[in-house]
Formats: sequence, C-alpha cells, structure tokens
Amino acid sequence: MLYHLSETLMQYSSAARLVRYTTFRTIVAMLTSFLISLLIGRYVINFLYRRKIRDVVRDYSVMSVDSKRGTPTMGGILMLISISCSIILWGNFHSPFLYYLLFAMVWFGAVGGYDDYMKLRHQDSDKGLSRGAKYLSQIGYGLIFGILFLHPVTTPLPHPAQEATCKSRWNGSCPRLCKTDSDCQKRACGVKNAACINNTCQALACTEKKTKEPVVCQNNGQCTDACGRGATCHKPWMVQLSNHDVVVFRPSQLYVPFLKYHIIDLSWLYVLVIIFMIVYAANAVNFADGLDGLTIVPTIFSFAVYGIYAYIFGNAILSNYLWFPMLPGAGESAVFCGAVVGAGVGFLWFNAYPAEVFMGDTGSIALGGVLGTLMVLLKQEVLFFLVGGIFLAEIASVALQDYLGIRILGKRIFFRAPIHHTYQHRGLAEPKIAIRFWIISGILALLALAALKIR
Amino acid sequence: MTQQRNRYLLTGGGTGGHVYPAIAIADELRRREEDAEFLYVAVRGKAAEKIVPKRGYPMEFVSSRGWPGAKPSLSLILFALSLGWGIVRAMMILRKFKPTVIIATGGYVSAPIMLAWVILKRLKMTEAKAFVHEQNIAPGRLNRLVGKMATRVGVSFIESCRYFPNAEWVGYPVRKEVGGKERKASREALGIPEDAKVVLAFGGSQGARTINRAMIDALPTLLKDPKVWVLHGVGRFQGADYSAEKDTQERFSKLQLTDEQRKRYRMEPYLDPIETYYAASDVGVCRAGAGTLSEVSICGLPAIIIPKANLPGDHQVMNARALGDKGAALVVYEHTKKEGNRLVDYVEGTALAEAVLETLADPKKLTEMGEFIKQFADLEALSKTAERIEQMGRGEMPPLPKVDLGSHKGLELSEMTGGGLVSYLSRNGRDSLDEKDLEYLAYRTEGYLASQAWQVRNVGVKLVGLLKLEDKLDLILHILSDPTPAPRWHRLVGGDLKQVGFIRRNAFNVLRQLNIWNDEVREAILRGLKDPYYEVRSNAGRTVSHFKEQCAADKDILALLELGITERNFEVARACLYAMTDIDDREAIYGVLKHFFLHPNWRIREAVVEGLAKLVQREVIAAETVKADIDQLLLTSTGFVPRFQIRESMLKLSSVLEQSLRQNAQEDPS
Repeated sequence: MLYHLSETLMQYSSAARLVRYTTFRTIVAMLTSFLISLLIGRYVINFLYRRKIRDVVRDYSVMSVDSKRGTPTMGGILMLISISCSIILWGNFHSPFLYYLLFAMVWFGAVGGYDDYMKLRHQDSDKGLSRGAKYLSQIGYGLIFGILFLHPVTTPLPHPAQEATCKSRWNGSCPRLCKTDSDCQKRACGVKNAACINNTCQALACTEKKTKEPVVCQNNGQCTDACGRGATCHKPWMVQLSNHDVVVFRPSQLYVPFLKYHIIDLSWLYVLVIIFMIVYAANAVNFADGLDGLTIVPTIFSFAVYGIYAYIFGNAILSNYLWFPMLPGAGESAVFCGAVVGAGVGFLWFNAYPAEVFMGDTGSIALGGVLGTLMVLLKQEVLFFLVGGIFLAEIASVALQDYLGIRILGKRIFFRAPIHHTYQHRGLAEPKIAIRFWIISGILALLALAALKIR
Repeated sequence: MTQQRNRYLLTGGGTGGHVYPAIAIADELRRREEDAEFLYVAVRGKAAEKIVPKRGYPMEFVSSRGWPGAKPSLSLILFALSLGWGIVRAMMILRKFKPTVIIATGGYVSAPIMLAWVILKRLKMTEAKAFVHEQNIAPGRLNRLVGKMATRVGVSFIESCRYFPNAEWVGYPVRKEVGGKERKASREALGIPEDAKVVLAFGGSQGARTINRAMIDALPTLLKDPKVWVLHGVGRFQGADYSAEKDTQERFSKLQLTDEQRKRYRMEPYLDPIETYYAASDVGVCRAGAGTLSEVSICGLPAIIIPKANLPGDHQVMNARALGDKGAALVVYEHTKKEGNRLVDYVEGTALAEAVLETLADPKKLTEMGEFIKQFADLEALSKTAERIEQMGRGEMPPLPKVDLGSHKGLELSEMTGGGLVSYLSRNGRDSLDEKDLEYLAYRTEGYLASQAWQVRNVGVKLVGLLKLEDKLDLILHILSDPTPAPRWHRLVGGDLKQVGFIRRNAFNVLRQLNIWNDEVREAILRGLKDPYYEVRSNAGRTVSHFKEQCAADKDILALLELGITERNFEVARACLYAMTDIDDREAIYGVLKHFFLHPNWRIREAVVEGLAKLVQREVIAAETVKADIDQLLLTSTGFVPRFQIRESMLKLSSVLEQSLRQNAQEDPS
C-alpha cells in the first residue's frame, strides 16, 4: 500500500522514496511482521486456548506432569495474520508474483485450517481431513497453478520466446472473389498463403514467421512484435527488459542448481513437475512438524534463501552479474519472503522449547504450499531438495518406514519415523534434536547460496 | 374389507434361508386375504426357482450377483453390469406390477428390486411400501444398506434393532407345518422304534461338508450304543470339488460297521418333509442359520450347533452363541486345517460323537435343553409379520415400539475388525470378557492365524497373547522356527522371512504373555537372539529377562548375549545388557560392564547402572568393587524428561477438589 502511496508521500518528504527500493521494503516487511507477531501473539494464544483449540486433557487428575498435551494448536494463524498485514503495508501489487503467493497462502491456509478444525471437533488426530481429500486439494491447486504458470498470457515470467505469428497485409489485392480462406488456396493469387478478407483474396506478406525474439515492452507500455508492428504490452510491470543475450527462463524448462542451463524443456508436461513439487513441499513441511521449533527454523532458512534468489532475479545488475535471466517483478517475492521470515521468527518466539503454541496444519501446510509455489515461480524447484534437506529426510523416512517397511515388509527400517522420532527414541532430548536440525539446515542454506555463483 | 386388492411383491434368496421366510409370509398373507395378488422376483437358477412355483406363486426374473469385494477385478465389473441391468428390469417390473407392499427377505437376489424401489421412490414414481425382513442377528450387507431406507424392517433378533432406524422385532416367520407333528406318529412313519435315541444331522437344503464329514467320522462311536439311530440329511450340494451325496456315501462305505449298525444309519439327500424328522428326533446336529434355529426351537429339539465360519458379520456364530449362552444348545466350533493347497474347515468326529452321546446320556439335561430352546421359539412371529405388512398395505404405520438396546458385547466384538479387537483387548484386558466371548475370540484367532496375508496373521499372533491361548504355544513356536523365505522381491528391498519381522517380534511378546517355559521356548530364544531383524533380537533379550530364573547361568544364552551387548543397534545392546545382568552369575561380568562406562549413548549407560544395581543385590559382585570406581561412569546425558511445575500444582488442586466434592456429596445425599 505504501509503495502505491509513495508518489503522493514524496511531496511531503523525500524519505518516502526509500519505499521504492525492494531491499528497504524487504527489511521493513520482515520487521513489521515480526513485531505484529509479538504484539498479537499473546492474544492469539489466549484466544486459541479459550476456544479450546488444543488437545484437551479430559481429566485433570490423570494429567501427566511431563507432557505438553493441552498446548494450543493452530498457531499458524498467527503467522498468516502477520504476513498478510505486512504484505498489505509494503507490497507492490503490480507484481503478479505477489498475487500467486497470496493465492497459495489463502488456499493452503484454508485447507490446513479446515483440517485442524475437524481434528479438534472430533478430538481425534485421525479424524481430520482424509488423506485423499488432503492430496486432492494439493493436486487441485498444483493443477490450477501449473496451468496459470505455463500459459503464456498468465505466466508471471516474461515469455520472450513466444512464437509470434505475424500476419501483416500484402500491398495490393487479388481480384478473385471468395467466401472462405479455402477458396483462396492453391496459389489463387500467385502467392502461397492467401486469406479471404472482405470477400476478396488477399495474400499475406509476412507469413507464419516464428521467432525466438522476445517481445520487448518499452517504458511507455508499448511494445513491438516480431514483425516490427506495434502491439499492446500485456504486462505493464515488465519494464526495462534488456540484455537479449542473457539466457532466459522459460516456464516449462527444468533447472538444476550448479548447472548454468536448463536440462530439459517439458512443455505442458511441466504441470506434473509443478504438482509433484507442490504436494511434496506441503507434505514435507507438514511431516517435519513434530518437535518444538523443528519446522519453523528450516522453513525460515528456506524462505531466506529463496528471498535472496528472488532479489537477485529481480535486480537487473545482480542478475546480469551472476549470469541469471532477469525476472521483472520477482523482487516482490523477496518482500514476501521477508515478511514470512519475520513472522516465522515471531512465531519461534512462542514456539521455542517448551512451546506455548503449535503451528498445526494451518501453519505447516500453508508454509509448505507457499514454499512450493515460490520455488516454482523462481524456477528453482530442485534447489529445494538441498535447501530443505531436513524436509527431505523427514518425508523420505516416513515414506520408507510406512509404505515399504510397515505395509509391505513387516519390519521397521528406522527406529521410528519421521526421522526426528528416531533420535528421540535413541535418547536425545527434544531441544537438542531441534537445534541440531537447525544447524544442519543452516549449513544446507549456505550451500544453496553457493549455488548462485558455482555454476 | 379393503377397497382394492392388495398386491404383494416378494423378493429374496440366493439360498433357501432367504426364500423360506418369504414363502412363510406369503402363505400367511394368502390365508388372510384370499384375493391378494402375489409376485415373486428372483434370479434364475437359484433356490427360489425350485421352491416358489411349487407353492403356486407367479415369478419374474432379474439379474444380480453376489458382492465380489471392493478389489478391482473382472467379477466386480460383471457384478456392476449384472446389478445395473437387474435394476432396470426391476424398475420395469415395479412399474408394471404396481405392488402395494414389497417384502424383501435379504440376499443379493433382492438387491435389484430394493435398489430400484429406492430410486423410483426418490423420483416419486412409486407408492409402494417396503418391508425388509432380516433373519440373522447381524444383518447382511444388502439389508444394512437398504434397511436404512425401507419403510419398516422386521428383525428376528431384538439385538439387531441397533442396525436400523426403523426396525421392529417380529421374529422369524416359520411355516405353519413345522412343529405340528406327533413324535409317535412320525417315528412310525420313519420306521424307528419307540425307545430309540435319534440323532438328526443336517446342514440345510444345500448340506454342509463339515457336518457331513464329522457325522461320518462320529458314526463308529455313536452306533456302539445299540439304542442310537442316526438320520442324516446330506444336502444336494454338487460342486467341482465336493458332491455331498457321493462324498458321504464313499466315506460311509469305508467304515467298519456291523450290518445291524448300518441299519441304524439313514442317509437322505433331502429331508422331506422335514417336520416329520424334527418330531422323530431327540437331538439335532445342525448349522446356525436363523431359519434352522427357529425351526429347531419351535420343535423344542435340543441341538448341537456347528456355526459356519467367516460369514458376513459372523452371524452364524452370533446366532449360535445366543442359544449357547442360555444353555439351550451346545456350540461346537469348526477348526481349520490344510488339505492339499486349500484350507478346509472341519470338526473332530470323535469330539462330536462324545458331545452327542453326553447330551443323550442325561435325559434331565435333554429335557432342560428342550425347554430352554423352546423359549426361543416365537409362535407369534408369522402372524405378527403378516399383521404388520397388512397394516402397511392399508397405509397405516403403527408407531415403533421403544426398545432398550443396552450393550451387547458379543455383537460388538463380532463387528470389530482384527485390529479393533487387538486395541480393545489391550485396553480392557481379557478379564473383561466372559468364557463364551473368549471361546468365540479364540475361534476368530484361529482363522486369522491361518491367513496367507502376514498382516492378518500378525493380528492373530497378537490375539494369541492377549487372550492367553496356551494351546497355541506350539503354533507360535512353529512360526518362530519357520525358515520359509519371503518372496524374492521382498528380499530385494530388505525383507527376510515369510513370517515377517513384526510377526516374529510379536511372537516373543506372546511367549512372555503365555508365561510357559519349556525346552522349545529356550530354543526359540536362542534362535531369536541371532535373528536378522533387530526388534526380534531385542525382544528375545527381553524374553530372557522375563524368564530369568529358568535362564539363570545358561551358557548358550549368555554366549549370545555377550555378542548382543556389543551391537551397534542400541536397542538390542540395551535389551541384552538387561538380560545379561539378570541371569549372569560370573564375577567377570563387572569387567564387561566397565567397558560401557563411557558409552556415547546414555541409554546404554542407564542399562549398565541398573544392571549393576541388580548384580550387587544378587551378590554377584561386591558392593565395594562397584563403589570404588563408579565415579568413572559418564553421567552427562543428552536426554531428560521435563517437569512442568504448574501441572504438578494442578494435580494437587484437582485432588483437593475431588476430595471436597466427595465430602459434599456424602453430607448432602440428595
């Protein structure tokens, strides 16, 4: 909001110009959401507790002294509120990236919230949204998002190599009368491709010219198409696109960290990759949610890394320097990541061992879903296996243990799954495991940042 | 006088058990209203086609099939096609015949009509009422489904009211002819002397292999008593691998009997008229279908009941138990054995003979059983059912009588899945069940143990332990020594034996629960300590601790435990440490334990500390020795249990609250 008011504000103070810088907005978005979390945290926790949004201890006389049962859950709502407030304040709503991320947050927040609500209503952690319904909501989102992302009109990426078909008129017409285009075929006018226009055959000069040249949008919102004809720019946020010799991201190309060029272009089949990554991310974060602080810190690290990537992709100089294609508008994802990091730290304030509030599915599925959307938008899906190595370990241990071990082989492959329970089983205390996992995810985040330069 | 003639559409079948009640109801309705019209809808080639036309009811045919199970298969597709077409046909029949009341007695044969009725009713295209009759205590799949939508459900057992919102107990309608015969006249008609003791064995219209074979096996013992006569209805069943009459005849001719004895055995493919046979007999050996039981109880015939296993909701078992619990009948369960590649249910012939002879030997008990079983007879059932249907035909709906269902543990148990039983038993313990329930569950367990799927066998193993079935110890030991490998592709991804890790692990739990020690158990432990799967090794270690007196100073076990404590897998090492300190009596063990004083895993060190305490108590090692260097044991730990002080205070408060509440209640009893 403040970004859009900056023109007006600048009349009063030149300091308002700061708002136009992405770095500034990222940092203040982070601080804002952190402060909002701290301010409303206490109220949200008390509200959740009073509304019985917790594992109820039915009989206080049999309550166990060392268990955390009864801790309020659904604390993800705290993060969702502070992220939304911060983004409304500092976001630049010209960027489509922001809309995609907000859409993801609302969708997965609603799914997770409904799941939590059902669990609480039945007082049974198996009575939530059924496994099928959960996957369906994730796959459904992946499908919608995938199609929007890949379609040339709705994709937030500049789609420079759009295959422009140019149909400029040939000077002079052919006297032959016609009703349909087929009447003008067979070289009726001595030209290869003629079309029926106003009942006369007219040949097309620039026929079916396919070009890999980008459609360049000028600062004035105008652009020129491949035939040199004036066209309207559909994406007014795409200003200053230059550097034609830079590699360009296409939505359907698969990129791998540490490699400079894409490895494969999957065209529409890329929807499957998108669906897989969305489902994977949402569930991976969900499974990791088991110990105090265990999920939120790796999530913060992931968002920080992706925020840095987004900032670089959105910055013409940095992206040019690091030999990345520029993604106009991607800088707004950095602001969003900043807000998530701030909200995450604010949540950790309360969630640190021993936790006063759990994030619940409201938090884990929402954060996972947004993370999945973010990495698709930035075309860094494979990087998530590295930066979110903790999540990979969690979900892989569950998959191996449950599907292979317990269902088929009739034996345990790990002591317990998800993997953090194995360490608990071996006698490591909860905070110890959480902090060790933080350390590992911090190192992984650094490795992921190294992938910026090492290519 | 009704203004227009009532039109009754009857449907139901598959087996005779669903057809006969429909016939009984129809007969009664025809007796009451001479001008009523009837139509029986069934599937071609099933029991109804033979029985119904004889009684003079017109028939129509639809297509339908039994439910093949939810797994995708060819028969599932055929089922859907057949049922779909059946429903279309049934709709046409309903539109043409325009019945006042539909009477459905269950079985898949009635599925098309009932589903067509549900659809037409939704579309407001029929005004027919539907009366569903459920014969068994646990309803079949179809009745469970359509019973919820039917206008009224009549049930034979009051306990089944719990399954339907609009159920009413009417009893099982038995044909008028049954139970009306004289004993003397019937015996004369069959040529049986007055003072004979007559055993009547039959398995319904189709016959029952278990009963037929068990009866033949029982004959030599039974016929030794010169007064015993045996009437045997073998049934008409003829299948690919079993033909009731031929099989029984063959087996009978192989028996070594005198001619006199052979004369006292009479085999019939079909007992007709059955009422004469009922009247002539002293004791019956039969299945536990609701029809058979109702007829038997109307005749007051004491019965030895062999319920058929693994039917929907175990309804025969539940029916049989209802009688058995009241002392009106003796229940004998089937066992399962392997015959070639297939599993066959059987009952030990000599055991059956003993049960029969025992019952016959005590005339007082016999009359008592007769009296008891008669109490189950419901003479009103037929008229009550007909009455209710006529009322429905007139458009009256008598209010549902209030039924206090209470809880019925047997039924609840029969509805539970294997996993449900396991969690129920581990919550409530076996003591919450009475003897009959335990007997029933033992029989269920046997079925699970015979399964091919390891998941089901695993449930069976768990149940053996929870129910403390001591006679299954051999089977558990057999499982533990079964060397059959798992399928190849399982082994490729880490599987080992056919009796998978979980089964072997749980088998050791069972050994502890059964608490029986013998040499074979020792062998099993020795094998378990070398098992490829870690949970089995650690559980074997725990089993050693459990049998510590019996294992004390056992050299072989100790040798394996010494290997176990050095394992990398901490769970195994821990269990072995506990076991070793439980049974070892060599002073040298202290030297071994000292190696673990600086072990990185505190749970190992914990086991060492506890073991040292035990060893000092057992005076294996001297207290002074331990005291001298115990401070070398690493005490730092990566684990701890938090203590939330506020929760402790809360506990105090709640106990204070409880106390004062109790006091208040005592002072003020109102």
